[in-house]
Parts: sequence; structure tokens; C-alpha cells
Amino acid sequence: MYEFVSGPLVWVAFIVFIGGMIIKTVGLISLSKKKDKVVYNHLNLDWSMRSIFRWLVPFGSRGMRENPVLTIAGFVFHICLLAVPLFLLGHNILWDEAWGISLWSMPDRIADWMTLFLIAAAIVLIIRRIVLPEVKIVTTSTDYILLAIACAPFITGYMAYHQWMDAKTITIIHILCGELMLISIPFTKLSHMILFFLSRAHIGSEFGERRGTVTW
Amino acid sequence: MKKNNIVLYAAIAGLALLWFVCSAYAQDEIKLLKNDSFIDRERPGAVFSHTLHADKAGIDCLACHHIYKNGENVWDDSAETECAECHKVESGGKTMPLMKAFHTNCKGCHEKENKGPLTCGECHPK
Ligand code: HEC
Ligand code: HEC
Ligand code: HEC
Ligand code: HEC
Ligand code: HEM
Repeated sequence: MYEFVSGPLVWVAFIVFIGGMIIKTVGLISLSKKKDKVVYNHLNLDWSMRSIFRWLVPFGSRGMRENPVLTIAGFVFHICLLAVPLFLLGHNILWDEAWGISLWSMPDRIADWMTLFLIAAAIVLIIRRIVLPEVKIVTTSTDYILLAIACAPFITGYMAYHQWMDAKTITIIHILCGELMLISIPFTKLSHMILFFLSRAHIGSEFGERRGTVTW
Repeated sequence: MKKNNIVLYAAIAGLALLWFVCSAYAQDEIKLLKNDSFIDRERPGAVFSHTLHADKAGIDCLACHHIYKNGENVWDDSAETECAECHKVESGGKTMPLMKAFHTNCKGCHEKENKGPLTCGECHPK
């Protein structure tokens, strides 16, 4: 079971994730060429980059400055979400064994804390959706499901590392959760990990190049 | 009084013998691989039974121990057994770094034989 989950299924997950994101991105761009040609008249690299940059740095946009709690929780969440799986020793050992490549890896102690920070940030994000009426009204069950999908690899990875319950079973569950998350990305709004850049380029250019105002 | 002393001495000698036999027996068998070359350890060492592998599972010594001469494994009982003698923690040449040498050897066979542990927690229990 472990061999299947950590072998062929990893390939399936990565192919669906990367292939799906390429198809989705190319598809959306070609759709915009058909339906929204006008955008390309004022698409501008300078405004695109400025907009992307402003929305990638903490408190770089007005919305972030007005909602410091959301901003901090959001940035902690995203930084841990990317950094922990990429620089985790356990993951790098497996990549090295499977493909002969590996990245720098951080001490497990740090990964362990970042995992807890991510879970804490997710709890703040969930509470925010429940407590703030203006957020609650636009929240659907999908939002909670996606938060759960993103957190599940962290909760189960933490359990596997600390060897709660049966180490082998938990590790298998962890890998399945990780694969579920990767596969979900192209089919859900988790695809904003790529589409974010397109939207920011679009909106930044639309407002900057065309109307001469900033969107941050 | 004298008789009591003899019993006491005999008991002490018996315990000492027991301790000696036990510790000698324990030294025979490697149970935990914890190589000193890893300075900032991340894991608590790996469980490993030399007897289980070499005797009970009947694995050839050469599956784990090697000295290569002209591409041939010429290891024998009197040769070097310590992996860290040749495999260094930081790979500074063409020999595999130490951790990878252990993992490749152990997990490689467990995968091939479909027997023995493959997940971190099974080999590195807390
Ligand atoms: C088949 C058993 C086995 C499995 C499975 C295994 N290891 Fe190891 N590992 C070893 C052995 C043996 C050593 C070398 C002995 C020692 O720890 O000093 C070692 C050494 C290490 C070391 C270097 C020593 C240290 O603590 O810094 C790290 C790190 C490590 N393993 C991490 C992992 C991780 C992470 C996984 C899961 C992806 C894993 N191991 C799976 C057997 C195993
Ligand atoms: C499954 C792998 C494996 C097999 C099979 C195996 N060994 Fe070992 N052996 C090891 C490892 C690992 C060590 C520890 C090396 C280290 O600490 O760097 C070791 C250590 C030793 C040592 C030194 C420590 C001690 O216990 O005194 C001797 C001697 C030794 N092996 C002899 C043998 C002989 C003889 C055979 C064949 C009957 C054999 N081994 C089969 C893996 C194996
Ligand atoms: C006398 C030096 C020496 C000792 C001792 C030694 N190795 Fe090696 N090992 C080598 C050389 C040389 C190679 C071939 C170059 C390479 O691929 O790294 C090698 C290769 C390997 C490989 C790659 C696959 C293969 O077999 O070619 C593994 C895995 C490995 N060693 C594990 C171990 C383990 C585990 C131990 C301890 C039980 C050990 N080595 C002890 C010198 C040694
Ligand atoms: C050449 C094959 C081979 C190599 C190399 C090997 N193993 Fe194994 N290992 C086995 C087999 C076969 C079993 C199953 C034995 C059984 O259950 O009868 C096993 C079982 C185990 C078990 C489970 C023992 C138990 O009590 O069920 C552990 C732990 C283990 N190996 C650790 C290691 C470590 C650590 C290394 C590397 C130093 C290693 N093995 C290298 C073949 C190998
Ligand atoms: C897709 C296949 C994946 C595989 C094969 C895999 C494998 C593993 C393994 C073997 C461990 C180590 C367990 C231990 O140390 O005992 C681990 C830990 C962990 N993984 Fe994964 N993983 C995968 C995906 C993911 C993803 C997508 C994420 C997050 C987005 C993730 C987050 C984590 C975390 C947070 C830990 C524990 C960190 C800690 O608390 O120390 N994993 N994973």
C-alpha cells in the first residue's frame, strides 16, 4: 500500500496538478483572446509587475493595511504552505531517492513549528469567515472544504512526524491527503496559485495603463 | 555469620556474572544504528537487527558489506564494516554520502523484497 501511494500515485498527482494547471492557464488566456480582446490593448508589463509585486508583499495593498489580522494570517498561511513541503527533509530525501534531485532542507524542528503556525493561521481564517458578517455572507461550504484540503497534509504530516498512532498508516494517510490537495488545485479556486498572477496583471494594467490609478 | 558472608559473596559474584554475560550478549547484537558522524542529528537513530538480517533472513553479508576492487565486491569477514569509513556525511567525491548510502541499502532491499519497513517512523521510532 505504501509503495503504491508513494510511487505511481505521486506521478498521477503531479501530472494532474502540472498538466491541469497548464491546460487551465492556456485555456483561460485563449478564451480571453476571443472574448476580451480589448485587454490586450492596454496590457502593460510595468503595471503588471507593479501590481503583482504590491500584492505579494505584506501590507503592500490598501486592503491589507485595512485588515491587518487577515493579512498576517494570510501571509503566515501561504508562506508555510509553500515553504514546508518544498524544504522538508523527509520530502527532500524521497525526491533525492526517486529522482536524484533535492532542494536545501530546513531542520525538522523549524518545519514542525511552521506546521503549527499554518494550522493556527487556518483557524484564524475560519473564525473570520464565521464571525464577520460581510465575509460570512459570501462564504460557501466549498471555502471550508478547500481550507480543510489545504490543512489536511499538515495535520497528518505532523502526526506522522510525531508518530501518533501507527506510523505507517498515518504516513499513508498523509501522502493521500497531499495528493488530494495537489489534484484539487487545477479544479478549484486553489488554482489562484497561478491565476493570481494573471488577475493581478490584468487588473493592474486595466487600472494603471487605462485609468491611471493604482489598485493597491 | 561466616556462612552468611559466603552466601553474600556468592550472590554478588552471581550478579556480577549475570551482568557480564548479559552485557556481552547485548554487545553481540546491533539493535540501533546511530552513527556518530551525524553531528546535528534530526532522527533518533534506526532500529536494525544484524541477527535477523544475516541469520534469520539468511541475507548474504555481501548484500550490505562491500569493498570494491575492479568493480567486484571482495569483502570478507576481516574487512572494514563501518560504512562511515568510506561514506562521508557530506558527499565530497564520487562515493555516496552516508545517509543516502544507508537509505539506499536498507530501503532499496526492503522495496525489492517487499519485506521490511519503508516509512521514516518505522525505522526511526521515537
Ligand atoms: C529502512 C530503514 C530506514 C527508513 C525507512 C528511513 N531511514 Fe533514515 N536512516 C536509516 C539508517 C540505518 C540511518 C543511519 C543510522 C543513523 O541514524 O545514524 C539513517 C539516517 C538518517 C538520517 C541521518 C541522521 C540524522 O538523524 O540526522 C536522517 C536525517 C534520516 N535517516 C531521515 C529519514 C527520513 C526523513 C526518512 C523518511 C523519509 C527515513 N530516514 C527513512 C534507516 C532508515
Ligand atoms: C542487511 C545488511 C547486513 C547484512 C546482511 C550483514 N551486515 Fe554486518 N553490518 C551491517 C551494518 C549496517 C553494520 C553497522 C555498520 C556501521 O555501523 O557503520 C554492520 C556491522 C557489522 C560488523 C561490525 C559490528 C559488529 O557487530 O561487530 C561485523 C563484524 C559484521 N557486520 C559482519 C557481518 C557478517 C559476517 C555478515 C554475514 C554473515 C553480515 N555482517 C551481514 C549490515 C549488514
Ligand atoms: C571500504 C569502503 C566502503 C565501505 C566500508 C562501505 N562502502 Fe559503500 N561504497 C563504497 C564504494 C567505493 C562504492 C561505489 C561508489 C559509489 O557508488 O558510491 C560504494 C557504493 C555504495 C552504495 C551504492 C550502491 C552500490 O552498492 O554500488 C551503497 C548503497 C553503499 N555503498 C552502502 C554502504 C553501506 C550501507 C555500508 C556499510 C554497511 C558501506 N556502503 C560500506 C565504499 C565503501
Ligand atoms: C538485502 C536485503 C535487506 C537489506 C539490505 C536490509 N534489510 Fe531490513 N529486512 C529485510 C528483510 C527480508 C526483512 C524481513 C525479515 C522478516 O520479517 O523475516 C527486513 C526487516 C527489517 C526490519 C523489521 C524487523 C522486524 O522486527 O520486523 C527492520 C527494522 C529493518 N529490516 C531495518 C533495516 C535497516 C535499518 C537496514 C539498513 C542498515 C536494512 N534493514 C537493510 C531485508 C533487508
Ligand atoms: C504528494 C506526496 C507527498 C508525500 C509522498 C509526502 C511524504 C511525507 C513524509 C514521508 C513525511 C515525513 C513523515 C515523518 O517525518 O515521519 C511528510 C511530512 C510532512 N508533509 Fe508530506 N508528503 C506529500 C505531500 C505533502 C503536501 C502536498 C504537503 C503540504 C502542502 C505536505 C506537508 C507535510 C508536512 C507539514 C509534514 C510534517 C512536518 C513536520 O511537522 O515536521 N506533504 N510528508
